[in-house]
Formats: sequence, C-alpha cells, structure tokens
Amino acid sequence: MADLRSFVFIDSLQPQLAAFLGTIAKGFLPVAGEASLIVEISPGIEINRVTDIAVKATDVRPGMQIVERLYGMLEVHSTSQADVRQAGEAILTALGLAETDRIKPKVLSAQVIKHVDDLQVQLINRNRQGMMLIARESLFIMEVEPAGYAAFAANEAEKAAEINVVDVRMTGAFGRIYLGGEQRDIDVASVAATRAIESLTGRVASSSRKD
Amino acid sequence: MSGAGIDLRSYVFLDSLQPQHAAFLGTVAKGFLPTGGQASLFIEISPGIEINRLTDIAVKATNVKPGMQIVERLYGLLEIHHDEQAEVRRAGEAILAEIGLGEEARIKPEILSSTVIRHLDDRQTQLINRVRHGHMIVAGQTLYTLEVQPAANAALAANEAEKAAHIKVLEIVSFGSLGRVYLAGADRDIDVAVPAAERAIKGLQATARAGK
Repeated sequence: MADLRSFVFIDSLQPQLAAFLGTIAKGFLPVAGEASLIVEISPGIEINRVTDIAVKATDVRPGMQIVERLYGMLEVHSTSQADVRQAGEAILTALGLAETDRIKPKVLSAQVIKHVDDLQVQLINRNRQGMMLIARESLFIMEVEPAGYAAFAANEAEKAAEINVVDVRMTGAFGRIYLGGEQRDIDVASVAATRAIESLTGRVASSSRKD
Repeated sequence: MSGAGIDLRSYVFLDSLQPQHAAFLGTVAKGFLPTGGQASLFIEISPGIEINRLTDIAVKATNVKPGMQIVERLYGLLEIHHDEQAEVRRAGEAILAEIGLGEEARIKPEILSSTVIRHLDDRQTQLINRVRHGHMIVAGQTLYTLEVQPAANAALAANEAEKAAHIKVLEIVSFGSLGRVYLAGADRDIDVAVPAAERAIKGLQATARAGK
C-alpha cells in the first residue's frame, strides 16, 4: 500500500519554472502555461505503476519519473488542466487514496540572504540548474517537506514577483527553492512562496528531518 | 605569424568582468573562480599543448589566478584574472615575451554569424536551456547568437554586450574552432547588445591575416 506524500497540482507553469523543468527533466518537456501534476509516493518503486496509470488513462505527458532511495516522484503535464486533473484522479483511484491523504506540507526553513557576495554567488552558481545568481542580488532559500511542494512554492513565487528561479529541488527527503533578485522582489516572492505552502491541506505527518 | 613555434590566435584583455560574465565563468571554469569587476585575460594559441608552458609563466611571474586552462584538439586556451588590471597586463606581457610576439600578432577576429531570433517559441527555449550554462531563456524573449573566430574573442563580445544592455547571458563558448555567444532579453535590449558585441570584435587591432 503506497503512502501518498505529495499531490501537487499546478494550474499554469510559469515561464521560468517551465524552463527549469525543461532543463532537468529527462522525459517529455513541458512548456509555459501548461498544467502540471507532481505526485510523490513511498515506497519509491511504486511510481512505475503510477506512471502506467496516468499515461494510459489520459493524454498527459510525463516529464520526470524518479525512483530514489525512499520516495518515488512523477511529474505529468498537459495543455489541458482537465486532463491533468483526470490523471490525478486515476492515480488516486488506483492507489485507493484521496487527495486529502497527502501530507500537509511544512516549511522547514526560510531565509533571505541580502546582497550576496561575489564569492558566495560563484559557489551557488556551480550547483544550480536554473538562472544564475548575480553578485549583490538577494537570495531567498526555503526548505519544504515533502519535497514535491517546492515546485508549487516556486511557481507561486514566480507569479507574484519578478524573481529569477535559480534552483528548485523537488525530490528527496525535503524540497528546496533558491530564488534570486532585487530585494523588493524577493520580499514579495518569499511571502508568496510561504503562503502557497501554508494554503495546502493534508494529513499532518511528523517531520523526517533528523537535525 | 608565429614566435618560438607558437601561433597567437587570441589575446583578449577584459578590463572589468561584468557580473553575469563573472557568474558564468564561475559556472564553467574548472580552476580559480573570478569575481565581478576583476580584470581578465584570455589567451588562445596553437599548438594547444603549449598552453601548459604559458600558464607556468603567467602564474610564476605574477599573482594572477588561472580560471581555465583548456587543451583541445588544435588550440590551447588560458584564462587568468586578478583584481588589478596591471597584474593581468603584466602576466600578458610575460607570456608575449616568452613566445616572442606582440599583442597585435593575434588573428584579427572575424564575425562568422550574428543572428537575432525574435520572440522565441516555448519549445525552442527548452532545447536551448538544456545545453546552456548561464541564465535560462524564457518563452517570448529574443535570442541573439554570435559566432566569432578565433573563439576566445567571444568573451570580449559578451562582456561588452553586458556593459551596454540589460541582457541575460545564456552561454559563452570561448574555445574550439569558433566562439559562440548566446544572449537573451527583450527586443529593445538585444537591439542595443548586438551592435555593442559587433563593435567590440571589429574594434580589435591585429596584424592583417586570415583566420582558418
């Protein structure tokens, strides 16, 4: 019996998040404006069955299917929100679960580093997959659990403010988003990202974080 | 034109690395990472293997830090940088003295292509984003691509374009048989960046001879 961790519906992929997914996805690439669904379950290997259901039941295209140590993650997208929602329902039905069985996401940490130094941006740029962080910009970092919700937070932040999507980690024990930009934009984006996470419902689960 | 058997292909001095260019180098460089505002020198020679000897001279003669040393099939590239322009210029002189050539013995760079693609489609942005190292391009932005020979001159074109216009640096390929610059931005910014990049390349003085 699979455990539903994340069930994230994104109504409209924003341009940078779509570009970011296009960078990291090994599967079919989404484009801006498409609807997207991210499903994260445990144990990870069960994600193969979830993908099978989604692609057979609807016309959605899978962008990512990641089987990692403990969890499995699937991203599907389509120009039709209805198709994406239908894929989600087919998945939930097959698993015998409801959307409300997902874990209520929790912000584990959120911080803003103002006026990031020349030296520090270089380290960050070597590990990021999205936009570059430029010296003297502000950097917003948020950690969220479960990981899949990081994509939702980044998308809502991009809707709200003119920020650069530097990195979004949406797999693993918890998710992380790195956003760069002017302080005024980061101020708006950080609120939007936090509010996005807090707005989601789900069952309350204890954190897996050990530190 | 060659001295001590070494052909000087590019000699590109950058007075001040612009923020995105510095960030970009920080992404691709395998060596010491530069920071914005530093002076930088790109030297490209043939045969490639000789670049090892030139790096030796630069780092022993001065306090510059090497960011990239690339030995490829035919050519060798060295990038060095320092807070002080004087230190970088001094390193360049030490290298030139070693190979017995002047700065203007470099090949006069030639623009092979300079292309603007307006309002890039969603699907095309995704292909570009998978291979770039700098910023991402997003749908609807305008893309500028420049090809220049010899390759290291791409660094100059990108740096001058960034000084001139509010563009995003997607990719700079400064080694190989030809250099490439990919920039993205709003039309108005690309329209300013294009002449800035071209002017930088055309303004370089060199002994007249054809690149190959």
